[in-house]
Amino acid sequence: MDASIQTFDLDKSFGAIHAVQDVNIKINRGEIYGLLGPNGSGKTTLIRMLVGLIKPTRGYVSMLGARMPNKRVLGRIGYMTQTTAVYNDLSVQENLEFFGALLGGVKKARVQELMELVELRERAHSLASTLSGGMKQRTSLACALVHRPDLLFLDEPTVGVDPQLRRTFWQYFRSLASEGVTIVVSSHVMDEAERCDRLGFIRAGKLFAEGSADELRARAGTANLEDAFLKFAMEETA
Amino acid sequence: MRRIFAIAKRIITQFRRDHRTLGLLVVAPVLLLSLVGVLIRSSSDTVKLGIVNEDRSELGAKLARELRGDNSFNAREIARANAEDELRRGAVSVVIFLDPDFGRRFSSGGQAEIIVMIEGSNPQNDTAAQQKISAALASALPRAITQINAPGGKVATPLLNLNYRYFYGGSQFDQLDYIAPAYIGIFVFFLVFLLTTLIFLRERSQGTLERLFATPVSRVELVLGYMLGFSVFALLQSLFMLLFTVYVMQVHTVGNLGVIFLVQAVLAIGAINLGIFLSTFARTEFQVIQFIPMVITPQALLGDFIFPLDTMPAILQAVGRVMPITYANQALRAVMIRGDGIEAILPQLAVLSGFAIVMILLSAMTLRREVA
Repeated sequence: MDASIQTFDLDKSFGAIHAVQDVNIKINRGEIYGLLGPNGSGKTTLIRMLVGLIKPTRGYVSMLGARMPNKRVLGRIGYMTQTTAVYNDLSVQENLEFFGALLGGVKKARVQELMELVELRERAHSLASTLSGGMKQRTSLACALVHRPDLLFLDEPTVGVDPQLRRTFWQYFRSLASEGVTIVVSSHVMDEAERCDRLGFIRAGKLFAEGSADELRARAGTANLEDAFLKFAMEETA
Repeated sequence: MRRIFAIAKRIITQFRRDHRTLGLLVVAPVLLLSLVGVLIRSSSDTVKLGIVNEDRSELGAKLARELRGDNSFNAREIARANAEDELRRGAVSVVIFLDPDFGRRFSSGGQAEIIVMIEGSNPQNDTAAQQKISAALASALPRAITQINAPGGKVATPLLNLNYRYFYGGSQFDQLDYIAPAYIGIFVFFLVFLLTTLIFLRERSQGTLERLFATPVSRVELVLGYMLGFSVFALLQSLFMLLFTVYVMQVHTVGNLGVIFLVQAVLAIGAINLGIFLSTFARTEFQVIQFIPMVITPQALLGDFIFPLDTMPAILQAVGRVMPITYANQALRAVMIRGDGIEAILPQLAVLSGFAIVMILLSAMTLRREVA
């Protein structure tokens, strides 16, 4: 089967800072791929290159069989940024309708369905500025899902989200993946990493280990992922 | 006490890092005061005088020569047929007409009349011109008569009747009539610019711009969408201001309201895109406020608003001529005061459209996908 997302020697420098170095990843359809690394490791830069927000210095990205940037594929992407990027002066429903319209016209029923999904039906007409942080985060997620994307990019989607909501989010992600949506999610929280199908460890712009959580633990011979991360990182530097 | 100092010290530290604001504290007032100073001190007060001399006697020619020699005027003789055109083009601001019978009436001891035609669109200039003309004639005429009659002899004080007429407006015209058309233009420009800049800045800072770029939306679609949305408000504001000016403030308007509205619409579109473009260079709302003394005030001073462009020093005129407001002001004034039709303001409309197009391109260029 063809990969949903593949990168070829993807490389990005900002002046003297080498943010992402020669990254080659291949992610299959319906897979949840976790990018795991500390703050400033290049996760966000990598995701932004994948969605076409920044141009790689070298290398390229191929998604859904097309070399990026590709307008058709852009329409198949759902992207949730690190900050809850929703319009504060629009209501939940208006935010969804707006992103729906940009992404090719979305039916009213879909908007209702999404609000149901993120449990914001009764806040449909509340302005986003009046919502709690978690509710805003849910609105933001719903906006990324409005057009039933094939590819979903989530940049630290659960930062500042309470444990209960985090669990709900991961239930959504899992059910989307089972419907065939390919998900790339970045995180620096190790227990989230457990929920991904496959992980890429990233540090200082380098992807230095890849595999499922179990594989990585076994290869490192450690009891938990955090130790595995540190062990691989040490080997890499050595 | 220590807490007070801690707060003060923190503020000083913060400000010291904000070089742009520090610069502005010094640069803006110096720049603006220099501008105002130069404008007030340098605005030349020579009146551009046209003399239509049809007098059959010698007196008309003598009087014309006297006036040409007076250095408070920039006087030249013109033909009656060209008088209107010269006034319209602004080549002269006052024309005096000496009738064929002018000299004969004097020599026969009758009362002579001079028609003084004043351009009339700027009451401030007009009053000054009117005073100068009557003073100059009062001294030039006796000298001219002396030269003809009896050099060195005594001359009877001539009875002269100055008949003032106004090419535009009239004596009931006040300063507001002159300023109001430009005021409408500047206000629309200012508010539309400020609002777009602020809203676009918010789009950047709240991260939604980044999100938009991860959709198939193109830069041009984004700019055009913004333009369309803001145009609704800009045009409503223009319409309201126009109606208020004309019907409540009773500002003299002879032109077509539709044409006035068109000028404002083109100006507003330019302002919207200037706002999108400049929002790239501001990271905070405070920095947007800093655009006011840099972008708006110079345009208000040099844009042919209160200080007429053609009496400014050459350098400032050159600066004024690259400002979109100048053309909007000229066009609005032409339509409202002089009743010019759309064909007369095509050059100004072309400049304003050009400005809008350049701004659309610039703002589309700054909206690169790399928003970081």
